[in-house]
Amino acid sequence: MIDLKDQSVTVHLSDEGRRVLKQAGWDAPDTPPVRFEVQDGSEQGLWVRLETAGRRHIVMIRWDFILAVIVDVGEIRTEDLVH
Amino acid sequence: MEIVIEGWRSGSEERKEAASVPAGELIPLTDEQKSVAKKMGISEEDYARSAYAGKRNQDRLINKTRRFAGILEERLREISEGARIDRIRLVTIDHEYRIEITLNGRKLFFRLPEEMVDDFIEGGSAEIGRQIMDRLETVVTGRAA
Repeated sequence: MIDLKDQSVTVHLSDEGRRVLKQAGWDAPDTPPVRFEVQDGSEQGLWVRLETAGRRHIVMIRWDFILAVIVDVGEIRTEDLVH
Repeated sequence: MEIVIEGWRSGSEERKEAASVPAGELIPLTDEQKSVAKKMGISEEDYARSAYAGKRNQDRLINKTRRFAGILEERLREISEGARIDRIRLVTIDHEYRIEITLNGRKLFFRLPEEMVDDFIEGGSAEIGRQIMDRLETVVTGRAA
């Protein structure tokens, strides 16, 4: 399993997943993909960071509600260091 | 010595910084990046802020790697005068350092979990530092199985 800790991901949630998050008090955008910062991953799902009303929360989204995850791995950067 | 940072992460400090940058100061997206943002269903501004945070995060990873590389090279010279580090590469998605060393015209590869480097460089663990240097010595002196 890929270690997604601290990665920025775009998650496609199922309708049910979106509904559950709204029930939990998070105002999910209406667009199918949602961007999250991953706190950690587990066999049960993704622990993601959410900010609501100025407070930070860590929320578990079960894999059952996740249809796809796109990981923003980022770019390659190279620098020379003089010996 | 070449330092390569392959990828970036979403550090909370960098995200906060990116969120406070005025939209006009963000690096404009290329047409290709705009197309990717559209396909992913995220706004161009969100994409640009994400890239900004990523680049700032890479700055931090470069600094960490530079510090580590300096210490590693110093120890490497103590182990073997003719040895040098050619490249130190951090593969962020794998949380792993991959280090290429040249010793008497021979290439050696040394892998290390990033967590160990963090505990040593940022956490100040002398014990982990010793473990890293022991591993390096084992690889360089060919005592690995």
